[in-house]
Amino acid sequence: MTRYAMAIDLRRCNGCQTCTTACRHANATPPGVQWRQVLDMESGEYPEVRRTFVPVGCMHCGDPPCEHVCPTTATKKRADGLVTIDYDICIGCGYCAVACPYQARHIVHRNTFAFGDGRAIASEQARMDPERMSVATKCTFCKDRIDAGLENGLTPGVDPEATPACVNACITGAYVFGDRDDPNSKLSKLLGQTEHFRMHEELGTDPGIHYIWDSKAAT
Amino acid sequence: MSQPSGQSGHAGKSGRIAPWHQSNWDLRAAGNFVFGGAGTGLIIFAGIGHAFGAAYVLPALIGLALVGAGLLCVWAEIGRPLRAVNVYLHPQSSWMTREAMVAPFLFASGLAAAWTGRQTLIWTVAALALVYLTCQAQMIKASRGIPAWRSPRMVPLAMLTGLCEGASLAILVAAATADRAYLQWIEAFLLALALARGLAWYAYRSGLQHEGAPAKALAALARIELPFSILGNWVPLVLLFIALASSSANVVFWLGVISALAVLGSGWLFKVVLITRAAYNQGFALPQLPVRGSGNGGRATKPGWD
Repeated sequence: MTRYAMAIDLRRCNGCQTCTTACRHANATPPGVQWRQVLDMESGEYPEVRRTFVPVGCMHCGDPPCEHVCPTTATKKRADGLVTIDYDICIGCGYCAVACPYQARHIVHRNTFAFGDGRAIASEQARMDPERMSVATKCTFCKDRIDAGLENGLTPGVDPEATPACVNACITGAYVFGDRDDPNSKLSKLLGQTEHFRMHEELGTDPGIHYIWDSKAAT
Repeated sequence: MSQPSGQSGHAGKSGRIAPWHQSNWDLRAAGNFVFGGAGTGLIIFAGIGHAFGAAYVLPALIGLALVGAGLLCVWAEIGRPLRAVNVYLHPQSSWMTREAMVAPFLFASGLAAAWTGRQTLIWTVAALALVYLTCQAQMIKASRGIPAWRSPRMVPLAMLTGLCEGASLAILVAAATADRAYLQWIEAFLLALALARGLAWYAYRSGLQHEGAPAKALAALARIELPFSILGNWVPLVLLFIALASSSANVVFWLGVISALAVLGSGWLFKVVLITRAAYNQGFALPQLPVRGSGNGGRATKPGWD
């Protein structure tokens, strides 16, 4: 089996938001909608204050609550672990959005543009997709790139043409993408060498993004 | 002790960390639970009332109208209303689909029961109404992204709230139609249900405290302790007790009506608050902070939670 998943090394992320920009460029999301965003989390109290940059988005859960509640089957989990939305079926009821513990889903009911005057600039006009209006949208792990890459014999997570845009764009190499079920994938090897966690794992969603926070202690 | 600050380096919608209120379901969605719960409750009590010799048609039709109003609210909420029929595609796991599937049978059998007055149909409608109410309660609980909704104690609380509202409406209909013989029976039902709802409310809130929930969600629920629990549940419960102990028809009538209005209003308030005020999402949390340089990883952080 294949389970595409992602590892994000929190030690490396410097909050530059290049992944966010790359995602927006690749997927043409409207203003205010970021399928990939980087949280800037401050914690603790002086003098023990910490600042952590945390990229978040759809976790492509193994047991996705959004898929269970979706009344239309627009949200589906593919055999390779990707959670997808069929915009032609979705009714925009928002049930998936309240079921998602990662706040990863967005529903936009009217067009908004970067310069806010109600007029799209040329690039927005060219890439506007009426199909995505008033339906749920979210990170797809760039499934079109993955699928096209696979058709051309490429390996997601290895070949950039078959790898999500955020992973390609990361300037610090914090992102690693690949098949979690393949013990020889870079992802699996990295997860074997590091300490990592998954967000809100206690909710039983089996999320597909692993956050690396330390190296494994040498035995 | 180190405390998470929950501060975000960003303003605006993106970059929020501590739980914020969901913005996908508003008063229209709350309307489905308000009208659907009260309507199905009334349909159930119309059936029970019929067994006690009370009139069936009026309360049953009011109940169906309320359920219809709730469904209209949902229809007004969805982004693509012309595709609404797609809601029927996922009965395997979606409680929203299941609710939608019960609805046409509820309306068809309800109208048939009102038309024919056949006892078997009346009980069938009551059973369908109970299934519909169950779907609504389960629908809220299945929303795993909202801590105040996903509690397992939500199901009995939401169902008891709907039944209380139904019994309250049944009292109001019986009072309005001078069906006073039935009034005491239904008041006894409401007394028992209000007692159960009061206990379910405390079990739900203590469960949330125990399991953990966003501080703002707990605060929103705490704010309705007086109007919902005290004035809307325990005071009516005492009034109903007095009414049932009284031999005066006027006391039975007026205390019943006052109690019914209080229980009905508080139930609707609870649902509106639950959907539009207490529905804070999960937010973001880190069970471990990353190791930087030669230092250690920091403490876990979960901003905005009690």
